[in-house]
Amino acid sequence: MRNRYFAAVAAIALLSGTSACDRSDDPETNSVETGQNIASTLGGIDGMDTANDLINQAGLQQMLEGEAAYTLFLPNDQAFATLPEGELDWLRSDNGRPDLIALLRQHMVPGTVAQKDLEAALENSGGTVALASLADSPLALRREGSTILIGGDAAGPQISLPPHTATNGVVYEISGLIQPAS
Amino acid sequence: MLALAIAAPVLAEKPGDDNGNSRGKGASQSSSKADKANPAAGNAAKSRDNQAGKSNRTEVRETPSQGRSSQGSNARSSNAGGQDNKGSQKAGKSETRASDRSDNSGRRITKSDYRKSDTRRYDERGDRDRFQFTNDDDRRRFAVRYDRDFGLLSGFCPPGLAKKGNGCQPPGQAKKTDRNYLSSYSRLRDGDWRYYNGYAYQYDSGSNLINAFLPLVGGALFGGNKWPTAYQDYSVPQYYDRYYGRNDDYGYRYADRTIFRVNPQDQAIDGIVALLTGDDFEVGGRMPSGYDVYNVPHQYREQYYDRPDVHYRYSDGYVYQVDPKTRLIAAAIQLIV
Repeated sequence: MRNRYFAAVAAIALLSGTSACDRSDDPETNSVETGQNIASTLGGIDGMDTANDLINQAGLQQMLEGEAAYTLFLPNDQAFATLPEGELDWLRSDNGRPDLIALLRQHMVPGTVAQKDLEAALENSGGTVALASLADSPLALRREGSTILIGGDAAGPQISLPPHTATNGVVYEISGLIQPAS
Repeated sequence: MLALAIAAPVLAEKPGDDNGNSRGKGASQSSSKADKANPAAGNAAKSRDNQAGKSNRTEVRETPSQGRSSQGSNARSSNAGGQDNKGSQKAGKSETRASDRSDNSGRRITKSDYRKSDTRRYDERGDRDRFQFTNDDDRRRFAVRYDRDFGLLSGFCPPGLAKKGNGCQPPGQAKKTDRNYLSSYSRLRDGDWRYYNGYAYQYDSGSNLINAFLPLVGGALFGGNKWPTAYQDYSVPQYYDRYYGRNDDYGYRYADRTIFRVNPQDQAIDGIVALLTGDDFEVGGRMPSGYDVYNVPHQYREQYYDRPDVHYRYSDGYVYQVDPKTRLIAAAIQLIV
């Protein structure tokens, strides 16, 4: 599955003369349309292996293959590599799974948040929007210049665009972990 | 079809080893599919091909004054969806609130009713069926609020812990929760909470005993473990059975904003089928914060798209029609009938 997805993206990229990272299948939605559910889509995104492994460890793949729609803002491998020593091992352990699920909930929102709708909402609301998350607190997204950041911290996670649009939601790659609201 | 059920804590004394938390193999079994956890699941597996047909049918909930005080009040439509029904879905004029509404016997259900349910032993709550909801949406809100407010367990000891006085002897290996992401749970912020073997424990600083505990999603509540017997069933919408469970032969249970698939034969948790926001949407009430961006799933966008006079937002399996100016919720729309 993963190889098929990569092959398709790579082939289109070669034909269009652009890289797989900066191309967009659908100019209207500004996204890479994968034609697969979120679980399969995530497994095919380069540089998101850690997030994919953690989703599986959390037992959420069944949910992400289902009818209900979710939008995921998931840290890339580089972001997970910055965690303190032992943190990732804890999250990957059976004992750390409740922690892992609590962490992942902070990175998920209900429904399909397409890039064009996110950009339009940021434009209409003065550059800041709130997204209800599956954790206790909503996510605050804001535009700074050409980038979209999560949270109020200047060094907060940055969203990489375009996202990957699955049949049951969207996956955005972000540059850091979303920390719990204090 | 098995009704979706909410985890309602049992407050009666129970033996400590009767909570069914068989931890240890959860991880290796976490990805088990229906046929792995249940040899008979082949009969239970649902064809997802049916979903497309289901998806085009909607059930539209009208304003509280129309929908909650009379029988059979749900307005059903096929394909027409929110557009054709717009005329009858103006922002709710009634200000009826979930905490102060009528059940179908005409009695008002108040906040105190929610709280009373928690102060009695389960076997004394035999009259729980008195909460006769007129529709799935009322039942959904009750379930979410009940679990959010009363999910903690007390009055008996979790597996492996001995009862001592009015509390339980704490496990020696318990870790504090303030170094991890669990501390972000609002329900674990107050008090001295520690984590061990799939449960969070609240310590009483005076007696150094545990006075409450919570089975954790991903811990005691995870694939391969038995559903804790301390969590009994509380009926919540059959709609969620259809939407998240696809009407298969499993049982669906709710705890801590999570829906689990449970084998009805041996009560083994098969897996997590949904994480929910638990946000409190009520027809006639104001939309919760966090829905600034249009988020309706792809397959429903042709039916439910934002216009100057009406917005649509998705949450926890429903699409809600909202007045963009007042942010009042005009209708709760079920996506599968």
